[in-house]
Amino acid sequence: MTTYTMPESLKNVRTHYCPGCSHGIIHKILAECIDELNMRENTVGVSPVGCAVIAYEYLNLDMVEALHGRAPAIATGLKRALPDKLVFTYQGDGDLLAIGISELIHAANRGENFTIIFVNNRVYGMTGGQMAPTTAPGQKTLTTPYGRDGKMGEPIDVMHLIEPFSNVKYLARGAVYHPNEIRKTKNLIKRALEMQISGDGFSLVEVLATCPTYWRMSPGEAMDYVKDNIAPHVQMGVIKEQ
Amino acid sequence: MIHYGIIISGFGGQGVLTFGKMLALAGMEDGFQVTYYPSYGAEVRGGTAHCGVIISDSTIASPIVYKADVLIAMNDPSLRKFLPRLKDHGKLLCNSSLIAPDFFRHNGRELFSIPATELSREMKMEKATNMMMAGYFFKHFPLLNEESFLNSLDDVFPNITQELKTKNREIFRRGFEYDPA
Amino acid sequence: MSKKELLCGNEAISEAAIKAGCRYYYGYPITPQNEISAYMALHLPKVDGTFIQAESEIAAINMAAGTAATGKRVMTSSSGPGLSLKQEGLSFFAAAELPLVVVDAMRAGPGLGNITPSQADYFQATRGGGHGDYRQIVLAPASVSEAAELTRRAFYLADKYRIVAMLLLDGMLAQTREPVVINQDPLEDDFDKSWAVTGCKGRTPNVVKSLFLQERSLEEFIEKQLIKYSVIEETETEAELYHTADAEYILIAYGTPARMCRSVVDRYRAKGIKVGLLRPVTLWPYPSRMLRDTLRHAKHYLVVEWSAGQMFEDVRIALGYDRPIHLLSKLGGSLMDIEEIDNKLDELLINQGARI
Repeated sequence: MTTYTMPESLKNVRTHYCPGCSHGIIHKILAECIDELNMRENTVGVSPVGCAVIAYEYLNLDMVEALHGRAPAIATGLKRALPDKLVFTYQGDGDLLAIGISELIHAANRGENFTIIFVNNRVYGMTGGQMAPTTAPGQKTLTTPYGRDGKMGEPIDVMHLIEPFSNVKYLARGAVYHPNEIRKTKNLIKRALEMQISGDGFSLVEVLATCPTYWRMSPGEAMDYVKDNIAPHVQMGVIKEQ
Repeated sequence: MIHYGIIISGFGGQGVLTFGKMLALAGMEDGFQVTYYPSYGAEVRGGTAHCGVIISDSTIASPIVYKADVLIAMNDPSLRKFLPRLKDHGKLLCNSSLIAPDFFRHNGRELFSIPATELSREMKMEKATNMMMAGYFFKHFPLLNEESFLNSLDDVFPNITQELKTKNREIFRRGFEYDPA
Repeated sequence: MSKKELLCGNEAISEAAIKAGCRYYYGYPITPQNEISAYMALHLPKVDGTFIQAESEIAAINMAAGTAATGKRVMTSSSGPGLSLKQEGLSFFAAAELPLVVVDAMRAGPGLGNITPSQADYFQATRGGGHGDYRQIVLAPASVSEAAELTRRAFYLADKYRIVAMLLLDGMLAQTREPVVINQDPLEDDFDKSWAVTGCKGRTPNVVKSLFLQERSLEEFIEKQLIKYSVIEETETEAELYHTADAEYILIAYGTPARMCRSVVDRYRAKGIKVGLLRPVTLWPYPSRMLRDTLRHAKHYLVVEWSAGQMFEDVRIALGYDRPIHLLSKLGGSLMDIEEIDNKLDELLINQGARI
């Protein structure tokens, strides 16, 4: 009989996340992966600017809090100094693909041997629901009150951006709208971390996440929205593995 | 009291900065206080390059050679540019291969000229024009030990071959022995 | 084995950093500090160190933050425009209490300005160019030898106080070659680094962070920093006092202008005129008390600065309006000439004589 337990890499505390937010689920599967790989005491994580900035309050790990978008640079400095430790960044869409796009691209191109957990919910949450680089065409946000139009650019697909670099070894995309998807996503994250442990190079797992608050939906509606309107239009699963 | 300010100038690629560095190294080796201050920035190959070297027996206040005791000009534009910074009784060392004779308006300063580019071309090593000038410089300004200077080739070119070292010494020697008469 | 080498300021700093146990350097190209990254790229691999040419100044300082968070010695460097970009990182270092050695080889500003040497980053360096209430130690060498010594000192202070230590030098010192002997002794490394992130084996997790959301928590943090800053002011303030004990005219300068001033002092002393030089070695903390001590005998002060008069304000803060404070400034990275200092001093002497 399998007993459902709290992962050791997760602290037994209440989070500040909104009801229906995906961060809780993603924190948990990430923590489970680290536990299963027996790496909790050999891991340093990097939290971003955004809703997950205080992820170190929830993850029972050594953590560094990065400034806006700088997590891949911080992780570079960490991993170079601690090549035997497991290093990951946990970043949202604005952090990774707007203010931190330069740090992302160059860390990927150098093939820095760490893993990025990219939580894409298509909106800036912490600052109040502004447009993100991944905001969908027509999507209304605080700063696109009439819907995102072409003058505000198109959604950026991180996979298209960094897939061509030969030093990028593992790219995958998952979702968390259903227990099956959660299980699949956990496997993708675990594989990325395993590859890092074997010294393969740069890895990134994107997780299609929700923001019920700024999508103006109920938690259930937001999950359904990912299932029906986002996941079917993008490539899911392993996108690159070398 | 010994306090020599030397300006070496020419176009980038003539070995101006190397020459200066070697002088400073030789000065250091001979127990002097030295500073070397290069022009730095956008101009590299083809543009003007210069450096100031100070050799002194006491603490050097500023690495800038405001007024030079010696100006080594390896081409025409650099002579025009730096002649105003040569002391009234300063000495001028010119590469006459690249400086038009009508420009030798050195206003009474003692002039030493040598067709260094031609001579080093004759010796199949135009790149070592600086060593030709250096040989001539050492003949007229016997302040530093020649060997200190030539040995510093190893410092400025850590991977230099024995063959090239010998060649550089030959060119230096040719400059030293050059007689304009 | 220590041997005399002919190094420029940038190279001396680099070599001294390696000798002080720095094995990580991240930087971005900008004149006039490029010899540092070139030196590090060449020499760090020989000691199993890491050199990365970062994609930007911002990335470089954040990479440095990542390494500093592990407790290992790290350095980055730049010049004015690059330092402006690095300010977000320096503010983070201050908030996260991470040690760092950062070099600013000053060129003339504002904007891209000019690549020629200058001291116009004084405000940015000593006031903390980044946001928030914080301080960083600023060390100002006046020779290549001193640049090497102060680099070593910077690593020591950074570790001792978990603070940013900046080497602030004018581009001229960065580029000038002089004989130098680099200290080969290992720098002590028994500082408490129990705060570092290394994987939480056998302990509760460490967090390196700059966010203080809970009520009063930031206030308390800054209060703690202020105590640390006052300890630094008490114990680490340093200045060279050159013939100041009885001086009636005191020159105040740092970096290359200071060594020019030293020769001015010598010349005037030879004429029997009581001139002295106070050369701050630490720009923060500023040697205000040492400066005030000279009020007993000094009649005039002359600040010689390669900027529009930035350090001048610290002199004013220290001395108030008790004595005339004069300024000789050189703007826009134009060449500073010792004769100008002589002339300015002559002018002061003549005016003084006229009044008597």
